[in-house]
Amino acid sequence: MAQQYPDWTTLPNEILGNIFKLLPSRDKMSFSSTCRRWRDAVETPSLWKKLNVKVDEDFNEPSVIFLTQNYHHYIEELEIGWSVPYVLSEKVFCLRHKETVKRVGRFLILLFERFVQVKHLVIHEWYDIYQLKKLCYLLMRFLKQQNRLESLTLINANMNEMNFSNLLMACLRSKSTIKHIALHYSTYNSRKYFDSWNFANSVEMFYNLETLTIDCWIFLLFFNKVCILQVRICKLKTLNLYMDDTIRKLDTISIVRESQWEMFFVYLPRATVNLNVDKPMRDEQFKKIIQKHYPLITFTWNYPNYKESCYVDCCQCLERLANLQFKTLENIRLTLPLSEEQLKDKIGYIQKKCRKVKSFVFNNVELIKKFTHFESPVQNGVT
Amino acid sequence: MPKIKLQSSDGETFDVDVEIAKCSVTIKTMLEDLGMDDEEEEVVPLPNVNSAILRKVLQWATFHKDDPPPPEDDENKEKRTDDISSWDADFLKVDQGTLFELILAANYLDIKGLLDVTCKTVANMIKGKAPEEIRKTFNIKNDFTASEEDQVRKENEWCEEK
Repeated sequence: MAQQYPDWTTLPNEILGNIFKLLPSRDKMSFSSTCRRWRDAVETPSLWKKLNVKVDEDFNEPSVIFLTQNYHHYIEELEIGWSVPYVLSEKVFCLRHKETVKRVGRFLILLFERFVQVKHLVIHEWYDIYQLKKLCYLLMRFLKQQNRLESLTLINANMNEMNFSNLLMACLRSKSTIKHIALHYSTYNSRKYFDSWNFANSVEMFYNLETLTIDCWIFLLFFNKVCILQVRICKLKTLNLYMDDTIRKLDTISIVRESQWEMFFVYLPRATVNLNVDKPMRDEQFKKIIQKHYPLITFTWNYPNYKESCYVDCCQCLERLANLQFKTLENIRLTLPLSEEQLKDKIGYIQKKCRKVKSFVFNNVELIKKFTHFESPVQNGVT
Repeated sequence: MPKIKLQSSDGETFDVDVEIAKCSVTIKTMLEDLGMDDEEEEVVPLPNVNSAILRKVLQWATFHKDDPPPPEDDENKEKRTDDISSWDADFLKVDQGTLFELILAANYLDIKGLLDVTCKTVANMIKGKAPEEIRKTFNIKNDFTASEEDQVRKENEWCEEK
């Protein structure tokens, strides 16, 4: 029996868009050159609003460039980076492939030449390998041209000599529009180039900045300079601090003095703090970053593996947290290699001392709900 | 379990569990808005769906009635088309006419899961094909003029040059 063909060109734009979104860029190109109707359906801004390109996957052939050339005026968000976290392997080898690198270059030149303006730029898993300096330069040039950027996010973006101050200076044209800056775990290679004086000065330029996400050690250096330079970041509402294993010795970093901590409310008057710790920690390290002088809202601690000392360490750190009696602390998320039973006293102590806690998640179990559920008659008596 | 009657465009009525019918957001809203929930013998007319397609849709909805609600569309999530379950794949071994009608019905009835899986099936039919092959697969006429095609070709060359 001969197949009866429906008229596929009559599908509504929304459905054609749904199908289109599922295709890799090469097939997107074919889709748009199938017939007029399908080509017109692709002229939908929402299909192009966010462009997410992976250096090592999307440039094996040039269709991304072709599509960008035709639809660049719809792009509002750009996400660029490698598909996987860096391992020195065949991935790097494939990047050395001249054609691929050349195409990424052409892509970045195209964005620059067509004066593409994005609101959100995400650079993730970026590795500044010797052969790819040119790409880094082209990316910076594109960044420099932006004048209505709202957020800049770097996740594990390691740009050797392009230190953060240069990066922030490149965003100068967007200084009034930038609201969110995240430099998240992007410091592995660039630590020695980090210039906290310049960094503090450049952050000050973004006078509408509302969210700042940075590693703890950067914050300590940054805050120290903020105090010395008397930098005020008035509109900053959220400060997300991350602490991971890349910095093993917090002691080597200049420490913010007690008198400086007291000025937190002066220099960062509206800021509240979310602290995320992704490593085992001892009390002496913990006391350098946990401070009663700033309004801590969320405390998250992932203690990766069991260590012999972890029971003592956890107890001491949690006791310190409780003793600071945060009136602002609302959320606690602990993932520790210990049982709730082992830490029962400390958990209870924290809840007693920090009365505003609304959510206490221990090893993925919400404790507060559990308490109120079973002990609802004792209303304010949660201990 | 309470039932409702659904009437297809060609007049056939189907007795359906309310819970199954409610996987269609369109029907769910209709029931809630019109307070048709507790009325007995209420017939919901579906003028855009014929009986053959409605039967298929209900078959799909019955099989998937215990599925967790589909996640909100996350733009950041990687779009995949190779995650169609084997039951769905078998279910969608149909001629193009039926697939086409199923897409329209899923869209009209607002059944996200069915729309997703049917769109994925079409995407898989497109993948890896040149425009000419796509036209052949879907019986689409090439309505570009020669000069338009030329232009597309030139633009392509720009991307590859140097």
